[in-house]
Amino acid sequence: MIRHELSKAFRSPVLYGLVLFFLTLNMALIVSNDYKKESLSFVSHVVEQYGPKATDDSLLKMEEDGLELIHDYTDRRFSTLEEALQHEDSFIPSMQQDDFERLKQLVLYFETGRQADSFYKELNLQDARSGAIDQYGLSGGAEDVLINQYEKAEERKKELVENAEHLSFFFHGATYEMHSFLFKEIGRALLFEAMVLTVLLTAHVTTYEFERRTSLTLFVTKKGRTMMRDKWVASTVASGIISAFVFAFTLGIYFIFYDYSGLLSSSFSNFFMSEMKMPYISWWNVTFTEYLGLFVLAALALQIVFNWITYALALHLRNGHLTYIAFAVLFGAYLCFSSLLPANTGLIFAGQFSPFIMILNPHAWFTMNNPMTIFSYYEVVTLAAWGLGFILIGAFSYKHFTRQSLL
Amino acid sequence: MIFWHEMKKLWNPKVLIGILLISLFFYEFFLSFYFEYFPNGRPTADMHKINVEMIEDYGHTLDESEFEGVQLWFEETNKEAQAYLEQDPTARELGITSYQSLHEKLADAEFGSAEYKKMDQLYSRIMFEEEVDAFWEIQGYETMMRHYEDSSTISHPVDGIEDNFHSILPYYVYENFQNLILKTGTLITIVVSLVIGLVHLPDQRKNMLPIQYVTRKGRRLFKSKLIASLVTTLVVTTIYLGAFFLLYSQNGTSPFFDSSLRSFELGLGVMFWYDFTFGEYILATVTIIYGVAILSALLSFVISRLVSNYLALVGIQICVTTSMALIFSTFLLVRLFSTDFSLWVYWAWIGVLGVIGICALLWRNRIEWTVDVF
Repeated sequence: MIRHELSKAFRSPVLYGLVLFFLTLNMALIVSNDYKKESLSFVSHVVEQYGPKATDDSLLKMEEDGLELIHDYTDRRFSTLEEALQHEDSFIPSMQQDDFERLKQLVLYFETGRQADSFYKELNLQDARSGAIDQYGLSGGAEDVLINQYEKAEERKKELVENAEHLSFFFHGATYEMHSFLFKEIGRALLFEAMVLTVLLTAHVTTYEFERRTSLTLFVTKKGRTMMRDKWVASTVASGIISAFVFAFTLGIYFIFYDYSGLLSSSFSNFFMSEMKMPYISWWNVTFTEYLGLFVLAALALQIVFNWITYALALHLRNGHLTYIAFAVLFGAYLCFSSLLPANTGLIFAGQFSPFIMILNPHAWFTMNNPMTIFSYYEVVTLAAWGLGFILIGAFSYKHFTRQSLL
Repeated sequence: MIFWHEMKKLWNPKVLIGILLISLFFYEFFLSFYFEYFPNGRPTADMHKINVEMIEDYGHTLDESEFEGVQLWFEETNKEAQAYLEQDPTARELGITSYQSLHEKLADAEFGSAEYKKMDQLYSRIMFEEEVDAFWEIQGYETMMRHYEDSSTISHPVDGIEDNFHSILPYYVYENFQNLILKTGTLITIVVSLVIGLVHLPDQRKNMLPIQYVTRKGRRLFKSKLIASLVTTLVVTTIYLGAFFLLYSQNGTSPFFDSSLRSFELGLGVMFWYDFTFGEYILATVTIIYGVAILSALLSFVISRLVSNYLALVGIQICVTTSMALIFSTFLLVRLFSTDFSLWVYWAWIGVLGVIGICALLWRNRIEWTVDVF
């Protein structure tokens, strides 16, 4: 029977049209950063030639190579790149375009790599903490929670320096902003698209008989109202499949378009990737690939939670269109509600543990970069709590549905 | 009359409550910021005061001799700042007598030295703790005067645009309106689609068509539904735009309505094909919104007749509204008629969108007279 319910989801041509429309948008989004592509690939050569980490040895080699490049164009002999760059007028005007580009890139990664150690030594999370407290107007219990969390963050910072995670080469964040591009712009677009598909499909499958006005015939059969159980499973499976397809296709195109070779096993919490003052730091020592995997898993789990929320709504409303509107209203109402929570108790943080908030900041998942969600298990707790909650609500709604008047 | 019955069905209370809530959330998340924080921070607030004063004293343009008058204001403000620094012991100790010397010395001082720290403290005390008006106003004047002086260098390769760029219309006013009207236009498109999408589908789901189309009114019902939809669209759009302008009037930008868009503060950033005043520009965007609202209504009207379930209806509408929002934000509401694109591009798009709407309607109308409803 689940098979029949699945076919109700997958037999809608509009669903495929919508998927196609979203994929087109995503492709346009991916190509929109085309102009960065050429200079991006330099870091792959860096990894190839100097190894995956900016250790003292590789930095030394980079400096030598940079100087060699410079010495081709000038008679003066410099002992360090820093010295050479102070006299850049003596060689830059005569340099060939591609050599100049190479030098520029080499210097960029060399300089960043050299600063890494001292940057993390000086990096003061207290500043970030007091900035957040000011920005969100926190006090009392909320302030204590944040102080506590930033102490844990401090420990994690020390640990990552010991592991030399911060030395892994990656696209230069301040220049290219590839993390924001992939996880915020594309990631957020993907999450919202998958959410739209999930909500549409779930409400469609759940209210199918009511929409066709066959409910009175079907729900009196022997199978009858237990069909709603099959619908639950079927819509969950269908949401998972469609979301996974949209993710896989878009990310596939993305990684074909942008060259990440050599960087896939870079540590996520590296210094090169940082876009603003605070570098990205994940709570665990993960590589880029592992982070991406975690991200996709969390994104899919998030869709399942949306699926269960929609299922519960649809069981009560028994009308597809009202379910869509109700979902939108619930989304907005939750965001309003969470912004009204008092900023002087830990409650304000409890309000953040919600899929509706989680979907807004995908680039900060598993990291300590968003002060309002700076909890190492934020994603897991959110998904588990809301998932469990809506399993219960779904089960009760089903129980209620089996014995209510459908006329 | 059938028309009123159709109106009653369109104004379905459940849907209206949903739409009202969605609009409130939309306002809260996307619009309220631009009402609450206008002008946003300092020195923009100080610039706003200066700009309004200039319009009061000199009218909507600022010619060279009037600019000299503004320079006198600036000197007066400078004197105020000097008076403040004279009575300040730290400033006297550091030998700082004016805003300009504070800036220069701060730039010259070695970073981290004791002198630098002292000056930095003085600076942040004046600007951020005590928020001395004169100093912020100087910043505002400086930005504005720089723009005025640069306006003589505005040169552009496009033929046919010649102006001395002396009009007074600040960039932040234009930008604020642009952000607001984009979001308002998008909200209206969403709301119209939601309401009009329900014009045919619920009837069809209840198998009403075979009954409705054999009555005396018969297939002319299609026309009644169309008129009801268009009236609803116009009413909804007018209500939303009315509410919007009521809120917008609180921003206090009305002194600029008669200023030309070719102003010295706007000319450097964005150039327009037409020599509109700000007020005329607002009217142009309002016209666009009415047009697009009717287009959305026509498309939803036809889609609603074509589809057989809500998934299809909402699925198609999401494609339509997303495309519309993208068109809005690239050129049809944001930077409308600017020289980012050739002038014909704007008219071609307006034409194409109009043709799409009318063709969709005429096509379905023709089919509707003979279509098999069983």
